[in-house]
Amino acid sequence: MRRIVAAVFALSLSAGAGHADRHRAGEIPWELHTLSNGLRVVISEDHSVPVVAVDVWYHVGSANEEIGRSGFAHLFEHMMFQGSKNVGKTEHFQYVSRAGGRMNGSTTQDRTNYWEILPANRLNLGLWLEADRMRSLVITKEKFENQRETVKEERRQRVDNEAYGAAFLASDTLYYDGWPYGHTVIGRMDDLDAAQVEDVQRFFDRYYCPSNAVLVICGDVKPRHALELAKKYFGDIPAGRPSEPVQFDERFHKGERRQTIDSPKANVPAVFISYLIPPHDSGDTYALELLNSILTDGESSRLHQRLVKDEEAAFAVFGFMDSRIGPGLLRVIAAANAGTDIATCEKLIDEEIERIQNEGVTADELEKARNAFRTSFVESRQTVLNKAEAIHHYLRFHDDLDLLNRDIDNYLAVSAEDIQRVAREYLTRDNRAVVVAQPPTS
Amino acid sequence: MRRILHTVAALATGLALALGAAHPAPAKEAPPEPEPMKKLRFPKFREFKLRNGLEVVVVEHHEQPVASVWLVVRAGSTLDPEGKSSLASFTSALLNQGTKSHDSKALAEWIESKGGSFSASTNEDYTSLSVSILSDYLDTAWEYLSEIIHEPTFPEDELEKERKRVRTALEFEKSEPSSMADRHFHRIVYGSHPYAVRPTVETVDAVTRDDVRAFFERNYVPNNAVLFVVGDVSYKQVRRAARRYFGDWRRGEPDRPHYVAPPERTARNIALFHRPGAVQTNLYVGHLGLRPDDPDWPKIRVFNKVLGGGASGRLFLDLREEHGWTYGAYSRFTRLADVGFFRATANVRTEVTDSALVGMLEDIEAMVTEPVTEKELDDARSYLVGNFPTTIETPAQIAGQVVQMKMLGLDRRELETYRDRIARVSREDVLEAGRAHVFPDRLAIIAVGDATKILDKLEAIAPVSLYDIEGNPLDRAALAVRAVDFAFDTTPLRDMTAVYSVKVQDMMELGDLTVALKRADGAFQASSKIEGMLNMEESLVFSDADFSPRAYRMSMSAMGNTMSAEYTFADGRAHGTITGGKDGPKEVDVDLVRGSLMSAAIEYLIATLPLEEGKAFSFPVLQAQSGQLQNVEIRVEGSEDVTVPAGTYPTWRVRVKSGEGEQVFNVTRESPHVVVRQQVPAQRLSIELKNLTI
Repeated sequence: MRRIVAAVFALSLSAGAGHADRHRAGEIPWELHTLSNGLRVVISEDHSVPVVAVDVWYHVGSANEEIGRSGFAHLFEHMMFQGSKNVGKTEHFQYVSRAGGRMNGSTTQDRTNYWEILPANRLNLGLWLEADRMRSLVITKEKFENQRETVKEERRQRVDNEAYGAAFLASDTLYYDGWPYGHTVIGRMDDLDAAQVEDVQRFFDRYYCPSNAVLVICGDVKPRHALELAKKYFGDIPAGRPSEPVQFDERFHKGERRQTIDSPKANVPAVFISYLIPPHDSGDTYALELLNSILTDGESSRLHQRLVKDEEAAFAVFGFMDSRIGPGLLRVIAAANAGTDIATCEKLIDEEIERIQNEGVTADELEKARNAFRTSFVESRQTVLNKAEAIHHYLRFHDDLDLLNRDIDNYLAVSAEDIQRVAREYLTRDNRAVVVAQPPTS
Repeated sequence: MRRILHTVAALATGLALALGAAHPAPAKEAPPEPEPMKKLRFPKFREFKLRNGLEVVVVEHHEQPVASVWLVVRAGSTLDPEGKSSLASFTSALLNQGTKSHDSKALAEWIESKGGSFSASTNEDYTSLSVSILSDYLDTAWEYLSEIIHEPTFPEDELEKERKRVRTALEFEKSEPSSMADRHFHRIVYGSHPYAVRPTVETVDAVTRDDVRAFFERNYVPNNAVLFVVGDVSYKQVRRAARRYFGDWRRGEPDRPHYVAPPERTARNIALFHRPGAVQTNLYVGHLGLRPDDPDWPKIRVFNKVLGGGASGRLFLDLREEHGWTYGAYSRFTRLADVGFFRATANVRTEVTDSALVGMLEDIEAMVTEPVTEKELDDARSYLVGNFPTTIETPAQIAGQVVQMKMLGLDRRELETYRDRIARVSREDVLEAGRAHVFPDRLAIIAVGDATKILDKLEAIAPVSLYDIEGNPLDRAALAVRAVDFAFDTTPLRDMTAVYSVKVQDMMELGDLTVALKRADGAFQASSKIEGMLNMEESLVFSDADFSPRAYRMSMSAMGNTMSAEYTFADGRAHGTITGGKDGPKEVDVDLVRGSLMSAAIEYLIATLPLEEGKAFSFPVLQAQSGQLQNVEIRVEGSEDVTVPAGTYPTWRVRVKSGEGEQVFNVTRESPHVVVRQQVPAQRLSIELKNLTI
C-alpha cells in the first residue's frame, strides 16, 4: 500500500521538502523532485565545505536476479565501470581522480549504488558521468568476459580464500527458502559461468533507467542550480519503468536449521547464528537494533562480558543487524578460544538471550544503548556521502523521506519492555539458522 | 634518453591524430568544464589564553551535535632524555590507565557509557589526548580530560604491560625491512638531531615509573599545551569550561627540544643493510627537506604530486606501470616542527634493484632539470585543490588540520589560503622550488636487501657502506659463508622425547609440539611434529660425528597454506625441493662448506656446546625453508630461571641470529642443554616445555 501511495506521489511531479528544527541530532535538509522521466532527484544542501556527493541508487539488487543467474546484479555493477558512449574504459576513474575526487559502487540484496565525492564546482562532472552510463552503457563481449573473470577472482579472494567465507555466506542464506534471499549477492560460480553477454543488455534495459533510480546530490550546491544540471544531463534519458516489488516469504518460526561447513582454512571453530527478523520498515526494528547493541556492542556488552571476559570461551564475539526490505537477519557470530568446544559458545549465547527474555535489560544498559545509537546515528551523518546514503535509505527502505529526520525518536523511545518482547518474539531457537564453521580435526 | 622517448611519444600521438582524421571515429563528447571554484570557508576559529598560559582554540562547527576536545602538549619524543627513548610515549599511553578516582576499566566505561571515545598518541613533536563525544555530553569530556591531567597514578602493572607491548613491537619491527629502512634513513639523514633517535630494547627497559611521573610533572603544564575544542560548541561555553576544568592547572618550566644541526651532505652515497635471503630490496632515497614555515611549501606540494604523489606520479608510472619492478613507488616531504625530510621509496625485486634505483634517481633528476609538462601541472594542481575540502568534513578532521597548523607554529592563513596558493603555482615555480630543495647529487640512499646479490651492482651506482640489519658496520668478507673447524662432540646427546605447547602472542595455543631424538647406525634421527591449528612434521638424520646432515624432510600446513621441503645430500652438496614458499616452488642446489648443519639441528648442537655467559659461536647453517646457506650466530646472553608447564628450570638464555631472523632459547644449565622455552619474537611465537623423557 505504501508503495502505491509513493508511486502516485512520484507521478504528481510535485516537490516535497523536509524542514526540521535546526539543532536536532543528525538533521539533514532535503528536497525531492521528480523529473518527467520518473527520475527522483533529492537535493540536500550542506555548505560547511565546498564538496558534493553525487550518489545514484538503482532499485535492483540480487533479490531481483532470475533463477540460475545468481551474482548477476553484482557482475553488472562491474560493467558500469567499463565505459559508456562518451567515457572510455578507464576514464571514469581518471576524470574523478584528476578533479581530486573519489568514487565507488556496491551491490546488496536490495539495491545497487554508484557514487562520486567531488569538489563542489565539479558537480557537473559527476552528473555527466552518471548520466552518460545511465543513458549509454557500452556493452561488449570482451568487456563482459573480462569482468566475469574479475568477479570470479573476487569471489575466490573474498569467499573461497577466506577462512570463514563459506560459513558466513551459508549463514546469510540458510534460513531463506530459495529466491529472493536464498542465494548470495556474490553468486555461484556456475551461475556466473552461465551468464551471457545478452543478459547484460537485458538487465540494463530493464533496471537501469530513470524511473528505477534515485539521484541524490548532497553538498555545497544551490538547489536550483543543482536541479537544472540534473535536468540537463538526465532529463532526456528514456523513462523505462520501475522494477516490480519483490515478493517475500514472511513465515517466521519455521524451525531451527543447522549446517556444519568444513572450513579447511579456519584455525578455530566459529558459530554463526542468524535469527529471522521482520522487514526493515517494521516497528519492531527499533527495539531489535537496541537489543543487538546490548548483546554485542563494545567490551561491556552482554555477550562480550560473558563469552570473552568471564568464561574465556570465545576469542571474539560480535553481532549486527542485517536489515532488508524483506525479512532480515539479526546475526551473532562467535569464534571459539582454543580448547573450547564451539557448542559451549552457542550454549552461553543461548543463556544470555534467555536471561534477557526472562529478566529483561537494566536501565543502565538501555541508556548506554541509546547513547551508542545516538552517537553512531550522528557520526554516520557527518560527511556528504553518508548523508546521501541516509537519504537513499529512507526512500528505498521506508518509502518515506519524512522519516529521515524523525526516525531517531523511534529508536530513543524504545523501552526495556519492548526489548524484552522482541527478544522473546524473534530470538528463539525455532526461528534461526545455526552454521558452524569446522576446521579440520587433526 | 628520456627526452628522446618523449619526442617519439609526441610523434606517435601526432601520427595517431592524423590517422584519426582519415578515419573519423564516432565523436566523443568531452566532460563539462569545471564551474568557478567555490570559496572555501575554513571554519572560523577563535583563540584565547588562560592566566596559567594554556592556549585554547575554539572551532565552532555546528553541522552536527558532536564535538572533539584535544589537549595537545608539546611533549613529543624529541624530549626523551638520552638512554630513555620512548619515555614520552609511555607517559601518554599510561595517562588513561588509572587516576586517583578510577582504575583503567572504570575510566573506559566512563567514556563508553556516553557513547564517546578517547585516544592518545605521541609523535616527534607533540602528544595529543583527544575525546570525541556527542555535544550534550561535552561535560563528560571535560571532566575526563581534567581528571587524567590532574590526578594520574601511572600504575606500575600498567607500565609493565605497556613495556611488554612496546618490546614485542620492537622485536617485530626487526623482522620488518621497511621499519628498519625507516630507522636507518632517519639516523643517516638526521645524525645527532633528536629526530634520528628511535627506541631500543635497552631504552624501553630503562624507563621507570619515577621517570614517567617526573616527565609528566615537568612537561604536562598549561604553558606547554594547547586545548582545541572543535565542533558543536560555543565560544562562551568553552571559555567557562576551560577556566573551570583547567584554570587551576599549575604552570611550570617544561623541557625544550635540543635540536642539534643534522649532518651536512656533500655527496650521493649508499648505505646497504644486509638482509640475507631477502627477495626484495627496500630503497629509501632522500635528504633533509623544508622547515615548516618555508614559503615554498605550495610549490613543493605540486612538485611532489608530479614526482611521486600517488598512482599518477612519475615514479609510479615509471617503476611500476612501465617496468613492473615494484608494486608501488612514491615520494613525500614531511612537515615537522623543525626541519623535515624529502624521501622517495620503493620496494623492488632483488634482481632489478640497480635498474630501479637508477630509474628513481633519473626521475628525481628530471624534476630539477626540466619543467613539468602543462598537463602534469594542471592535473597536480586540480587534484590538490579539489581534494583539500574532502579532508575537512568532520570536526575530527578539522581538528587534525588545526592542531598541525598550530603545533608547527604556522599562521591560520596557511589553511585559509591553501587552495589559492596551490592554484597559483606555475611550471617555473615547480622547477625553481625543486632546485632549491632537492639535490640529486647529495641523496642519501638506504637499501635494505641481500647484499650478496646486490652489493656489486650498487657499487656501480654510488659508493656503498655495508652494515648488518641492525646498523653495525659489516665487513665484506663476512658476506661469504664461513667454513668452521669446530670440535663437534655429540656424546652428550641422549635418546629423548619432549612435548612443548606452542603459543601465539602468549595466549592462543596452536597445539602441541612433540620432539624426539634417537640414535641409530652412526646417526641421529630427529623428528618433530605439531598437531592442531598448525600442522607440521619435520625429520632430520644427522651424523653422530659432526651434525652433518644425511636426509631432511619437512611439511607444514596452517590456515590453508601448505609448505614442504625435502633435501638429499651427496659430495658436499645439498639438493632440495621446496614448495609453497614465498617464491613458489623451487629447486635449490647448495655447496656446503665445512661444518655446515641443517637449521633443524641447531637445538641439538646447542645441547652439546660448552655454554658460558657472553660466549658466542658461529656456524654455517642451511635454512630449510629458503634454501639459503647462512652464518648463524649463537650467543649466550646470561642465565635466568624460567617457569614453564613442566616446572621451573635454571637456564641459559641463548640468542640465535641468522638472516631469517632471531630466536631466543632458554636451555637447561646442565648438559645436555635441553630446550625449556623457545621464542620467535618476530612471529610472536613461543614454545614451552610440558614434559620431558630422557
